[in-house]
Amino acid sequence: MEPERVASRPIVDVRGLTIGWGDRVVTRDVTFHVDRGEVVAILGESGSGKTTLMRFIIGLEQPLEGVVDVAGRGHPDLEQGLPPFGVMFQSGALFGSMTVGDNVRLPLREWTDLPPDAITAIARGKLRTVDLEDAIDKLPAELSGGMVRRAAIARALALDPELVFLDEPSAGLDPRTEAEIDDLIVTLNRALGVTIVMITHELESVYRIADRCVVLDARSKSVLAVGDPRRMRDSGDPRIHAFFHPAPVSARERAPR
Amino acid sequence: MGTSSALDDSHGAVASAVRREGDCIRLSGALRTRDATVLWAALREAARDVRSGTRIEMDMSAVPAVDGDVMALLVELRGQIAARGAQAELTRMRQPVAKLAQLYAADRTPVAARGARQEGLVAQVGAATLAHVAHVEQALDFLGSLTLAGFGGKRRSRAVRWGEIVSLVEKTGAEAMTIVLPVVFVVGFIFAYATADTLKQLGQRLLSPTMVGRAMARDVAPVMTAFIVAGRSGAGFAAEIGSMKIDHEIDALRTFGLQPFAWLVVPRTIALVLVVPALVIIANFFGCAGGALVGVTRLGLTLPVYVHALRSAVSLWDVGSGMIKSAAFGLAIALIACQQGFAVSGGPEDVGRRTRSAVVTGMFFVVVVDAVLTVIYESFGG
Repeated sequence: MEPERVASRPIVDVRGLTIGWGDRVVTRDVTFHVDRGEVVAILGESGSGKTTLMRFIIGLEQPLEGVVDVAGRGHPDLEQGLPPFGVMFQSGALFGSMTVGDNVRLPLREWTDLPPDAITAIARGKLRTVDLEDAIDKLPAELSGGMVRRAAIARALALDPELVFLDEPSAGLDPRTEAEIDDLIVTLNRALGVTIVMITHELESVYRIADRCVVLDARSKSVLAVGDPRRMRDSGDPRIHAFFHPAPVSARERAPR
Repeated sequence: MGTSSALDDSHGAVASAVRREGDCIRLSGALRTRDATVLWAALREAARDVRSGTRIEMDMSAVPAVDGDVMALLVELRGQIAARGAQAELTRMRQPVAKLAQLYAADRTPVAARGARQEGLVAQVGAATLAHVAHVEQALDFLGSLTLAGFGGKRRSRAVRWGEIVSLVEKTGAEAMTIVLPVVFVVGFIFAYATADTLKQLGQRLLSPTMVGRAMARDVAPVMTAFIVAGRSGAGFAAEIGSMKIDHEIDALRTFGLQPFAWLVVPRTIALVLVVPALVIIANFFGCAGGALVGVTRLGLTLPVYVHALRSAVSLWDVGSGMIKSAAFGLAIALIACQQGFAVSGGPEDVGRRTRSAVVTGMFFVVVVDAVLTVIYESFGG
């Protein structure tokens, strides 16, 4: 029994979760939890099912087996109104027919009674936090990939959810923007107490901002490890060690015979 | 871990308050997004009579926590006060709040006070009138938000989006109109032309307006219009929804607790059920005009005679039955197109395939529905 789980109920609790469709299992027996106020990273090589795992946790798909509880409300039922979290999809998934501002305004219009000027003020404020205030009247097609992702973060935060899922918030960004996104995540977490579950490839980011991480393994279709990434880096387990110290292909080829 | 203990009261009762004391707006309690409507109304009320040249302090010392949305509103209020030529500052912020203020740039001075500039008489009168209207609006807003707060504050997402329906009606109507009207005109012309010689030989020239008018109202205009709407709007709907599907926009909608069916299918279906009959009314006139051109040029009928013959031959039921069919066509086209859009899986090539299929299946169902309704009409003697 982990001691911190006694103190308060975890905001995300995944137990024995098997994900996939029909006979096709993507990952089996996933067990981990996220406490309130934590930053947890989901790691794994491409194809290990990170995004799929997120889709199952947030209620876009139904698990084959196992239990998911989010914010004490069980497996999220997206038919039953506003879920208690925000989501940033890998592609951004901004509504292409709406301006960036309208994308952020949409959840506020649908779920609050705020007057239009207040909604616009909030949308502008959210976009300011991701340094996109000037793009409020632009269409998503006019933005770069990094800008789309930042706008998507602003939209996910529109209603100030206590929990946010971010799918690769900084993939493919330049190092400076990547560091800015990391800072934003830390600020959201520290100043607002937002719990963050993020999928990422950037190990440096993980060491910098994640409290814990979940590592998925594509070959065994299961969880390789759960814990503090800084400790895992020095793990004696060769598979975990290999994940945190990826050797370039050329180096592997030149390895002693 | 960054959770401040002050944030843990998030499930408590509304404890925030806004109080104006001279040049100070004193805020207290946790300022939560769920109370934002009431807070915004109270903040604007508190800042209502701030005059140019004054300096207002927004005292945050009794605020343990602020949600992002409320911070955005505080920054907005500060900007509005600055625009009136006054100054406002967030002061005595506690730690997590100060950090958040930094994120929302609340610690930066707002840019140039716009309202300080001297304006002409007309502009001033206009501004004063607008300010008065704004005050009345603010008062009503405040009253409204209090009433809503009394009912629990947050409403459910709207079920039907009328604004979206209006814009879809405009878009689909305008898209189809430019093709429908010339097409039915030409079809009316061809129909009259092809039968003109036979009718002349039989000495039944006045049957031409009867045939053109009835065929146009009952079947030709509705079917031609529906085909064109299937080709334009049906294809558009399938492509749009299909692209939204592969870009995960539909998933994003769902994560906001919004139902894709209500959000995308219902407005599109209502729009086409309204648009196709409306287009058919206009198409009827154009189709008959095509027939009239043949009547006048080939059959030697005068325009008043042609129009008179049309009016006595085409009954209200002829037109009405065509309209009922048109609405059914609109329903079929929209539902098929949306279904094909949602059926997209994989990549962009599937969007193309489903779009083609939406058009072909849509046209097929228009003909099927037409046949079924014609048989039903006949069995009821019409």
